[in-house]
Amino acid sequence: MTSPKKIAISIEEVERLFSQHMPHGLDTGMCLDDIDADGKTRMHLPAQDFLAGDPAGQFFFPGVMFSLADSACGLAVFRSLGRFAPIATLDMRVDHLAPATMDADLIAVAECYRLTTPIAFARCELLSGPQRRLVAIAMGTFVLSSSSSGAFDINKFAKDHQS
Amino acid sequence: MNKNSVHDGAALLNGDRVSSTLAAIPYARHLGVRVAEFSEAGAVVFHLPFEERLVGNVTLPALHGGVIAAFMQVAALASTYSFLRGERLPKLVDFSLDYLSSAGPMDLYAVCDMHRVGKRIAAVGVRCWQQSPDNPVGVGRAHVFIAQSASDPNLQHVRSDQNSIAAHLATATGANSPLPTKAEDSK
Repeated sequence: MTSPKKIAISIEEVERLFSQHMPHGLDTGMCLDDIDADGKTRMHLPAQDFLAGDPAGQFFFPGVMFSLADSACGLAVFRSLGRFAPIATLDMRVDHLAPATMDADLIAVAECYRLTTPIAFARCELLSGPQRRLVAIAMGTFVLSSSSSGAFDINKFAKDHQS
Repeated sequence: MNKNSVHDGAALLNGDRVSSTLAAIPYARHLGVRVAEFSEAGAVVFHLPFEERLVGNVTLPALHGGVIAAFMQVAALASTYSFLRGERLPKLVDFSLDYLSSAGPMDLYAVCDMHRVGKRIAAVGVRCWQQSPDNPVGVGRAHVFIAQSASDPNLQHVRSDQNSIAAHLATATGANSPLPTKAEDSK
């Protein structure tokens, strides 16, 4: 079994992609962190009232966690590929181990643990609270678009999308 | 109730309980989830109007997969809550979603199928589409916890919030909702 290649993509490039490519990320306030020493992709989502799933605003809504996990897993696939390419989520599953409290940022730690053509497998842990308790585990598969045979040019993308 | 067939159960779906669930979930309000209609079989069709901020990919463009997931989860939780008669808000145990096609910059619709409702767990299927119910963009499956767990501290406030849920009704149902609103919310 081949392990995914780990080629560094600059955080600036990824952030540019995020800020211009994903209005939903901006809407919820997702932030990408520096890549972990272990090569995992880490993101965080600051707690905001509208992200809650309960009337008292104590817990993140599960769908918010799904969004963060989906985004983190997608970025982990990009990093494994070493480039940006059109990918689509085939499926994703999230198991909720505990309620995700909103007394601290929600944290996602994702990795692409198997990369084939055209399928990538990724998983993600979601941590919440000051103790960074493990509250959910996500697993997803992604498919590289058939139109993605060519390398995705981030600079061209940035130029095309500058407004 | 648990012995009812799926269709009997669907007939029990209660619009007020659906609305109160939408009102009780801040993120459902943020997304803008509303009820489109009650189908002939009694099931609720949920509706998420398109907005630019829900986009996950501007080049296609396509809705963010997480938006689709969150919308379908709201549908599953609201359908489950309306199916029951208790006051506890159901909780998601797990959710699995197969994406069947990219979701374009259009409204989303979803309908749920209560596969099984037990004493503690409900198994709920969710189908989500845009232009035609026959051409879904995603199918999901949720396990929803519907009993109270002794170790769960967040259920106390959920119970106490039931009164305030009613107060939220007016704001959640929105101007175009076919649901009757019980009270005007002046806020």
